[in-house]
Amino acid sequence: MIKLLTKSAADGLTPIKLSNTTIVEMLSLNLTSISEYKGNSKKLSEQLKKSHGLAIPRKGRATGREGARALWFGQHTLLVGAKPDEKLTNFGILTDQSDAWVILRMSGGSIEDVLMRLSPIDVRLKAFKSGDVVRTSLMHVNVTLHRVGTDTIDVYGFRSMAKTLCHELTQALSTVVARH
Amino acid sequence: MRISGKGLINREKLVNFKFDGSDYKGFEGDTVASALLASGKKLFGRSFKYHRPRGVLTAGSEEPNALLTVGQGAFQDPNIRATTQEIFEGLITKSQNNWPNLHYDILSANDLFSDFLGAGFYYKTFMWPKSFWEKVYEPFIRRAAGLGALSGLHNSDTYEKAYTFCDLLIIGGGPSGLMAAKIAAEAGLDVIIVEQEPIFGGRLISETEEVDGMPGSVWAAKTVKNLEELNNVRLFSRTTVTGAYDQGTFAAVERVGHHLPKRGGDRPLECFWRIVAKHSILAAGAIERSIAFPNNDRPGIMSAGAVRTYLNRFGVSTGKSVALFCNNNTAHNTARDLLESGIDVAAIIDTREDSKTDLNVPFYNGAEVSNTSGRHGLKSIVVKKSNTETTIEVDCLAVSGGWNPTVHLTCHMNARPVWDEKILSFVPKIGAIPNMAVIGAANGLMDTHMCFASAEKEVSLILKASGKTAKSKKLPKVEITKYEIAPKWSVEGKGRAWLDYQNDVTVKDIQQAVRENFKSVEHMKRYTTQGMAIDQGKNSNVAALAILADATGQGIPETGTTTFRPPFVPVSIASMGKNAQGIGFAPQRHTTSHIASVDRGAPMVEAGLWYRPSYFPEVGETNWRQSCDREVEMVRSNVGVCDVSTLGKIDIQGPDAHKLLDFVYTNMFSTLKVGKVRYGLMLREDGHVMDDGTTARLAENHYLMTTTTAAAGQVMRHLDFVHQCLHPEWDLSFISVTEQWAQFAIAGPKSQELINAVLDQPITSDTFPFMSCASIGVLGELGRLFRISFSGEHGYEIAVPSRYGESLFRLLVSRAEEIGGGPYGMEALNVLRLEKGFITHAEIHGRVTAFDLGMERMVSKKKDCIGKTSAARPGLLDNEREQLIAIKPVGPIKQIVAGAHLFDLNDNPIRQNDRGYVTSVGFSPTFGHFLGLAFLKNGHERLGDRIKMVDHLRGIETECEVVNTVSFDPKGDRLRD
Amino acid sequence: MRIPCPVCGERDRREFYYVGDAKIVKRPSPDASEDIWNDYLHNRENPAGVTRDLWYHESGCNSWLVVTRNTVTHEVETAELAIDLKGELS
Repeated sequence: MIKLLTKSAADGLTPIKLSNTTIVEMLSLNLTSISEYKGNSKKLSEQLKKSHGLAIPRKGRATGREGARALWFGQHTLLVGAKPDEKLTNFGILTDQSDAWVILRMSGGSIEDVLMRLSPIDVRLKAFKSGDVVRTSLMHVNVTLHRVGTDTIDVYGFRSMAKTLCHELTQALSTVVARH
Repeated sequence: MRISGKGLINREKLVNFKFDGSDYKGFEGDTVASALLASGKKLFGRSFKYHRPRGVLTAGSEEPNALLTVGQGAFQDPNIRATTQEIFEGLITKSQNNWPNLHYDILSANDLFSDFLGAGFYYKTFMWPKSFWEKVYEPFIRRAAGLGALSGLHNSDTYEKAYTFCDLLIIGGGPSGLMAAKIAAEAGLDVIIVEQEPIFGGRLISETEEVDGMPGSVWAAKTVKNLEELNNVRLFSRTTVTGAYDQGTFAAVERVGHHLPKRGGDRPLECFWRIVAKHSILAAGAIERSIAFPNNDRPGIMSAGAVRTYLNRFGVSTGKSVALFCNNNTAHNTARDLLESGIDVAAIIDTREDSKTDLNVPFYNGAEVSNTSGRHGLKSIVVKKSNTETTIEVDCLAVSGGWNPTVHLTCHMNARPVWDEKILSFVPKIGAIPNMAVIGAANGLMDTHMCFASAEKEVSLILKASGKTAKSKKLPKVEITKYEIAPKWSVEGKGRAWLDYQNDVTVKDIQQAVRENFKSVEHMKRYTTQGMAIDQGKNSNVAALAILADATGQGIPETGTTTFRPPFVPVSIASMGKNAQGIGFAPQRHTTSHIASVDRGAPMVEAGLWYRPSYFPEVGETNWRQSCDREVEMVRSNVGVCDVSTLGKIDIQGPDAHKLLDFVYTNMFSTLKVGKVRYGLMLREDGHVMDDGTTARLAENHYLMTTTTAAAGQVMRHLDFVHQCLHPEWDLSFISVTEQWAQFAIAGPKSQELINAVLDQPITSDTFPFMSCASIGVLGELGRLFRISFSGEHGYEIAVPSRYGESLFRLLVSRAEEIGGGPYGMEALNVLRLEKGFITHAEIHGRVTAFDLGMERMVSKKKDCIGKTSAARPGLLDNEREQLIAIKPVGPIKQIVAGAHLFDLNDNPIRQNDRGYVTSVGFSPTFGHFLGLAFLKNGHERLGDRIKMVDHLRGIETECEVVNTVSFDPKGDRLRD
Repeated sequence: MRIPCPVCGERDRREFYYVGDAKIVKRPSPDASEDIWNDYLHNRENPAGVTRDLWYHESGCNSWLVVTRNTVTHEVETAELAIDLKGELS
């Protein structure tokens, strides 16, 4: 039988490497948007713990670790990495978003310098700590930024805008590098 | 002339540069002004109006005279101040506003006619005849006016924009700013200190005052070094804060590459910063002002502070023999420094009767300079004391009329500065900018001890508010001096006394403005152009106000100032416009089939931010119409594939999901059966149509709404508004899944054959009738199938997760081609829907109602919905409204044009007779003629009537028949088949 | 201009979509009088001073906010979540 072939959002656009900073696309992650039924937030949180070992993150935070994380995502929670347990649907509404987002992982010494040229928020570690999640704009693109670690930030953007995102990040990175 | 042993320049490093084609040398650390002055150059440029020869007046960004064009070709920057441009190897500079050259400038003839060219000359002269405005006056004024020019070539310089944040922003890196930064940083605040010069220190690097027993410049350098070692302070040199905005936001321009040789690469030339600060301190110092005496504009006449800067910072003597003219004691220090460097000081002329000096120089107190001579450079001055006039030969005159605190930023949020009689200047209004303190000379404190003390006081308050304490309150030791000044604004005498050098405004011009009743300060400014040059009156406004006050008989405080607006210094449009050009102008959204479409040669067309294929050309087709006609026929007779992923898709779930849909759509969705799709119409609350689209019920509590491509964002916002603001009690959740699914329309008589080639379980028209939907296996992957049609043909839309999008598109297209079909683009899609009378945002453009569209029956009577009440207003149900109809040509002219207007056959086609307009047009290969959708007054009653369509722009007039909007298959048999 | 989003913290105005008078969160009942509907749809105060308007945190948490600010001083006093106000404006 003929099989459909898969293609990632930023296919052919990454890795981007300049000086001490790299940008790579995170591939084939399960992404599920979760929101609770009214009055079920506690039960949903308990179920999420049971099923995936994760708490529902507070505003602006992420829980879990590589492979199974939950990110505060504005009106929703985004389960990243894990295939969602069916039981979660007893307490919450689930929507598959695995193909909706391009996730670009930026790591290296210039990530803050790059993002401060694109986003109107304080991206320095003291204001944007490990485990923090912010939703903001990156130039004209709405994004969610997740600080995975001191030198690593994941950028979640619309899949259709992957090329624009890579362009903006590359441009900002090249001016930052050229300054030194 | 260089003075050995003086200056903060690097004498080890010689730098070659050009000015007006000649070679010059300077040292690393020089500006163009200091290097040229060191070479004995006096004449730097020509003034704007009279083309008067002018030299350097200042040593800072406020320079009005020495304006240069820097660089060449595409990298040419006009109107760069010679006093701020640092020299580098290979720098090319040119003087401006002269022809054929700086020494012999033809237009300096204007100077001879200055009696005619005074204030208001243009307003009075270039009025009549009217026919001269465009042909004679404008080209003349344009040629005569303007200083430097751009090259007109594309500039490939890189610019940056950036955002940053801090607890405390300190504006100005002089003694006050450095002291404030030291205390704040040591106490642990997150500090940014900004200095517009390449080196910190402010007046400390221009003067010789000792701080803590060391030269001020050494103390400044030491303090900077200590600050650099702290990780909670950031030092921005070559950066100017240009504006103060709401909630602690500041704009600043960092000049990153202007002092470096290479241009046009990745290194930014400038960075436009937006700095958000919890607190700010303005420590911008003060700017020295001149005195308006006759012929005070000759090259060689400079501000006394600048003469001191050139001597101490650059090791340059600005003349062989220097005189000083002042009304305050600071200029005496310039004389002292000059003498100590062995430069001849020919005289000190102090307007104050009681002034004294202990310097061994000819001293004239209670005297004034009443005239000067020397066309291209100062030769002599005339000193008038009592009634005696003495001529003194000098080549440099250092003038000080006092110091104006740099209050500009404190006025950017509407505050006006306050007159301080003690220092004869305006000082900032307290609390003018929330959370901003003003210290040092910017606050009228003219001695260094008070600068330090005010820094300590204001930082302590900020630290207290931030819960921190200062490590040490000890202030560096400085000699306490007192600033003494007496009023002296102008000197009477024969000859023009200049105020605004760049715009050639004289004392007489201000007096004339008053005589002609332009007495208010804002009127005087506009009538004379005082303060409207590049320096924005930094050197001359206060003196001009004093002269205005004198002429009107009002006091200076009553006269007031003009409005200070950002930016403080000129800002390049390129730095503010960074990312608003070329590919960065707007994000591009690409569908999963983008590359496959481009591979087939499809021209892509923008639809909002999306890019969609216009048509798919085949071999032999030479214009788009051929491709479009073929694609339409292909769909009508066979099968076509089209990417429709750009339509907005919103996943709505929850027990109350149906309530939301019933409320935002005019028609019922709670009654829709699971597995079915329904077309819906969405109104704004004012009764006009917002959007339309289909919604599928995937499960009891699970709907999938589609929006038009254009309105996806607006609809999402609207749903959030309804849920959060109007009905937060509803238990539901929705999220955009536009990006999750790649969706393709398959339309045409053979669409079922094609769709079954990719489905795991084949469907039939019985098992999957018109308006069905289902989750379904697509080559082993979970997809969705909808039996809907925007073409009027038997059709489907099939969706798969986006990762499979490209693969499915390529497969569907190749299978379609095997059976005589293929892909179709936006042009064909448009014609297909026009033949069926389906609407798009060309029709629902924001001013039409359901009634206008003939869809009033879609507004359910059984329930409330957004826009229902308003839509029932009598004015929105009037038959004289323009209603949706279709038109086709019936006369000899066959063309219909979108945007054209409709008139009754016998009416004159003028606005008063307008009956409507055409919204969408396409050539229908099915019918062999153009078809248009249009809005026509009382249109629903006029089917069969003949009207005329007139395109006034293109001069096309076409006789048309009003027809039903649905031209093709009016009963819809092909859809349901 | 910066708006203190109750969810995300103080943010640059670029992240927000502006609508206007916050009164539109109090939607009249369908059978309310013509005058009430006319007022709801069309009439807006234009105060020199304190005003309350609706903003949508489009590039942030997607919350609708009722922002109280001063059109003269540009001071932003508060930003409240519309969902918490439940159609009631004090």
